[in-house]
Amino acid sequence: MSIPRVLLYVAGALAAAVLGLSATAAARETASPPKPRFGGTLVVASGDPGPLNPGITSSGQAHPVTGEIFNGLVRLNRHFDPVPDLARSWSVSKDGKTYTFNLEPKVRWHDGHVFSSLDVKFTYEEILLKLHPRTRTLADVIESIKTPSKNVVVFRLKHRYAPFLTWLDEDNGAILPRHLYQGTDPLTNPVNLRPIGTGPFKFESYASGDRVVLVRNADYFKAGLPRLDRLVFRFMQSAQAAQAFEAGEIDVYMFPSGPDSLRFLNRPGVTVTERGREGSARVVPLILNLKRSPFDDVRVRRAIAWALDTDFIARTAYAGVLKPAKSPLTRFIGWAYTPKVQQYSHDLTRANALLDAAGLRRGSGGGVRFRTSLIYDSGFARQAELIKTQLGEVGIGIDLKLMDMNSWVRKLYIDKDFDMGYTNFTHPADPDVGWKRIYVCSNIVQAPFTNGSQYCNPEVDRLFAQAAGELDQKKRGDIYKRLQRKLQSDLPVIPLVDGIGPWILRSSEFRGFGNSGSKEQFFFGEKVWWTKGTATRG
Amino acid sequence: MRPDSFAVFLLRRLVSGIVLLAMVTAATFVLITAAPGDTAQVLAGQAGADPAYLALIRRRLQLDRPLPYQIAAYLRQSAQGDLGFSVIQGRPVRDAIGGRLLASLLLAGTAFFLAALLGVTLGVIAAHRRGGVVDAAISVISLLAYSLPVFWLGQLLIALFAVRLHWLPAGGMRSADGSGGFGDVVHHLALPAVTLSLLLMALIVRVTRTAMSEALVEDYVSAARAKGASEPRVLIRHALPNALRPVVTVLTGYLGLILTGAVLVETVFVWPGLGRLLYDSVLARDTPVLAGLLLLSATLVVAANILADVLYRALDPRTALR
Amino acid sequence: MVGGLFLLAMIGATVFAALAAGDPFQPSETILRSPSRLHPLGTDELGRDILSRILSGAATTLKIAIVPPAVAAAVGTLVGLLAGYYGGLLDEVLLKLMEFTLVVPRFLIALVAAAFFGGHLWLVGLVLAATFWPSTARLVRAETISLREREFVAASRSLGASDGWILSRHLLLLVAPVVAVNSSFQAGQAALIEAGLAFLGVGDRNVVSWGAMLADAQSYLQVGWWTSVFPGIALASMVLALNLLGDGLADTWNVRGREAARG
Repeated sequence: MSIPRVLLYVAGALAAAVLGLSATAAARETASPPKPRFGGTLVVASGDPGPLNPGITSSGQAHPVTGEIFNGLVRLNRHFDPVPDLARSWSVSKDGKTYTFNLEPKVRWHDGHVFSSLDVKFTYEEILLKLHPRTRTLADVIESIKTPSKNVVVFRLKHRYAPFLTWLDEDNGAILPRHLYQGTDPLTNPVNLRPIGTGPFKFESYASGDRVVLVRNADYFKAGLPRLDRLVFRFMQSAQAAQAFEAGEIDVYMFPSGPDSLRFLNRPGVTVTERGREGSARVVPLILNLKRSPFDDVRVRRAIAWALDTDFIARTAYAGVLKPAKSPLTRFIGWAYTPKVQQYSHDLTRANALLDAAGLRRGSGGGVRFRTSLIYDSGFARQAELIKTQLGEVGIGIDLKLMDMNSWVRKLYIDKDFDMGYTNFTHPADPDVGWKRIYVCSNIVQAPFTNGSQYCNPEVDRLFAQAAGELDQKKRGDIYKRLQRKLQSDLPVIPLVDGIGPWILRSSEFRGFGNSGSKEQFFFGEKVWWTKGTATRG
Repeated sequence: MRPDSFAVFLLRRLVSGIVLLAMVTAATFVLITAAPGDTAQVLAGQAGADPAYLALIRRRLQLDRPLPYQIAAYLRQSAQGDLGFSVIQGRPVRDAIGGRLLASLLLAGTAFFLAALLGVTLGVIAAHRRGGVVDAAISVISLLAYSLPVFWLGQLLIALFAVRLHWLPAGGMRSADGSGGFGDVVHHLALPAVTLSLLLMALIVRVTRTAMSEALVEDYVSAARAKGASEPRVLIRHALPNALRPVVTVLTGYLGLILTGAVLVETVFVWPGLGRLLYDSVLARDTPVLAGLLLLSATLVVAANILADVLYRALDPRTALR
Repeated sequence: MVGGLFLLAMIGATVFAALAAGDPFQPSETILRSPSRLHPLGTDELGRDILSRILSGAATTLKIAIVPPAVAAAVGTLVGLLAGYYGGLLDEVLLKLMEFTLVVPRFLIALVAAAFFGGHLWLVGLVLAATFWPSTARLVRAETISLREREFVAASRSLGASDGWILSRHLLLLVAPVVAVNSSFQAGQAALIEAGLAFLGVGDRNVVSWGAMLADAQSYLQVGWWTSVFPGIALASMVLALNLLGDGLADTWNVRGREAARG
């Protein structure tokens, strides 16, 4: 067998296993669901979460922890459909502008205080709509919040807004205890370091630089849950987590590098899966600064797309776990996704011809057409080196600028001082929430994770607005498909790879993962159970 | 030396040390705030935020004030022991640093102890067997220890002792279940402490060897030998005390630098100490914590230098004889 | 002098690498292959030849090990000579400045600067040169103070020699050994600091760095030991060679060695 074929085989096997294993695991669970057992400690490798106040941050390190301590009004299942959480049911008025939520009646905060609709109103009005980096934008949508009774909350919207319910999960809408936050500064309130929530686990301790420990909430409002006794989040970086997992010190390991997933693939008792991280589905784009020559020329952008071998990047830097992108939108939002758009395969002849046509001829010395730079952080290190080599073949010289995340965000989004960049932002739940922000004129602002390429096309803006007001999903999907065709032709950003990225868990010991569609919180700890636990809660 | 002149000397050193610290603090503050990115942006996180949000946070954190104002305020507050508030960590900087101090002291203390013990022992042996095979072997060891990159050595130790043999944990300071107490911590401490101690040990071996070699040819050593003292006694009671002075100088000199080496060792071994806090706060753009740590580091260096001067005088054989 | 020989070999290898060896950035389909005839030291996770990368990394390491200490030697010698020879206000100012730059450990300054402003090699070099020269200057100053009272200086002066002549013809030659020994230890430090920064992920990705290779290899130690072992050996040998060189020079010229070079 030739070497490339071996590699294809390995990558294929991995992809099959990542998708297949989870499928068989799911099949097994539905075929004869094993009876959950009780007790045990789950150890998760994570980043240091910082303050545990989900109302003031959208940090991907805080929410995996706070998601176990707090609840939103709804949860998102893995198809991004809202399912009950603190709200046991809800109804929407005919005009689509009034949402009435019936709350769970017997919910207590971890300190024993009774939970009520006033907590919801307070959290939205005083914290989320003022300080949550994403949910703040809902202030333009929500007209009023009323609490006709202790267990009922009514949201009145200014206009119809299709994705409203997907905003109400713990990520974007964690409900905080009014009795502890009222009259305080939520940024500095010491409660942030010993949080009180309504969730399945209670906060026990937070050792700086070391770990957060959560323990079972015996009074959780969902009967029989949670099943574990303790959840421990140990702070470590990816490379250290791989070693700790090998050494048996952790059970779940969140962001393995591509090749890392490979090595755990056929390990007995270990599962490599993407299931439960659907909320993190994304297309990783190469962002071009359209305000700078020569990227203002669409021929140059297309030439770059033709020159890039995304297939190779996906197979090596992502070990085949992420796929070459076929569209600017992730394939995981099935109702809106289409691959029937312009495809740019790896074709150096076309790339060279387009660059020649754009007047960027190879100079006599070294054959470099133009020099440019690429800014990125360590999460993109291998990819950046491949891009440099690949674009070098068509005469584009790249200066690699590796920087820490904050500098890179600053250069790309605040100062717009860059030629090429990349971003890892996800397209969670709804294209209107996660995807639109990359392209619309109104989002050319000095803020992180906005329209960094500064692409502005009134037609695109109009289509996005039309889609947001359309309540029929089929019709909405058609609009998003038109957008994908348009964007793949204009190429303000060049889609590289599409996917979720797996996580790794010790499945011989822990079951019940993976039914969350929330962006930052990829598993519901409340349903996870330990295979060596006791049959009943004793 | 007259006693009052020593007091004057100490006072002068202290005053100039404090002035120096104030200057260094101001300089590091400028460096940190000149960097792109700030706390408000970090708080916004991956998901992004609008400019109004960033402006609001900056106003709350006084990041919108002019730089000289910020520096002056920082100097004034830090002089009173108030290092500010870390929004990233959600706690005062003093607590953020204090929370890591114990882990750092444990690691650094153990490494210092190991380095001093092994370094002096090997140095004495090398000097005693000067020119022989043992001496050569020790000098090779010390040269290796001085040249090995700690982060690479750490990787190899983890691969061998944690992943392959399962004798020692791969990282952290305590087991996941939190049980085990002191023995558990020692178990976790072994690899990082040994790794961190090597460089210092190598230096101490060399210093001890040189000083002992010089001491061993002094008259009082010959005199002790002539009186029939046993060789270990000659080495330990007569020669060693004189050789210790340069060792102490090296040790105190490194006291202030212990954070530096620890950044890499703590990162590799996931040790929850100040080194990793520093690295994390650089990446998280946690300006108040970073400024606090640099101030702490500078204070340690200045204090260690003063201590070295004091010890140097105190251990001077001529003053000790009187 | 073993160190010197090794160093020469490394420089030779680097030149050879620049002429003959493969492209250290060229990826291939053969990922994580163990050493073979085609790839004597194996390939990394992107299928790049590790031997080519190590040779290319040698050039990076040599640059950072030679240039900043050399700049520091030049600046430090000049300033140290002037301060030691003339004393007075210049000396006072210099002493304060040296104290100032030695207070925050250079690795921390380099780490903060590289993380905040991007870890380009020249920036790291600049930080190193800026933090190396004061210790050189301090050594040269001390040496000059002890030399300037010697008879031959007085003799030269009485014969009508200018200060410039004395400084450049006599003192410069006499302080040179101290500077050379100090610089070779600084070179070893510089190599380790560059690798350490790259290991922490704030290095320069346009060039191959052994530290970055070691950082990338962390995840593959179990499946591809060669990704970590060979760059590690290369880095350790280079630092060892520089330290041996320093030791050798110190012995030859009877200068105090490593422990003095710490600052």
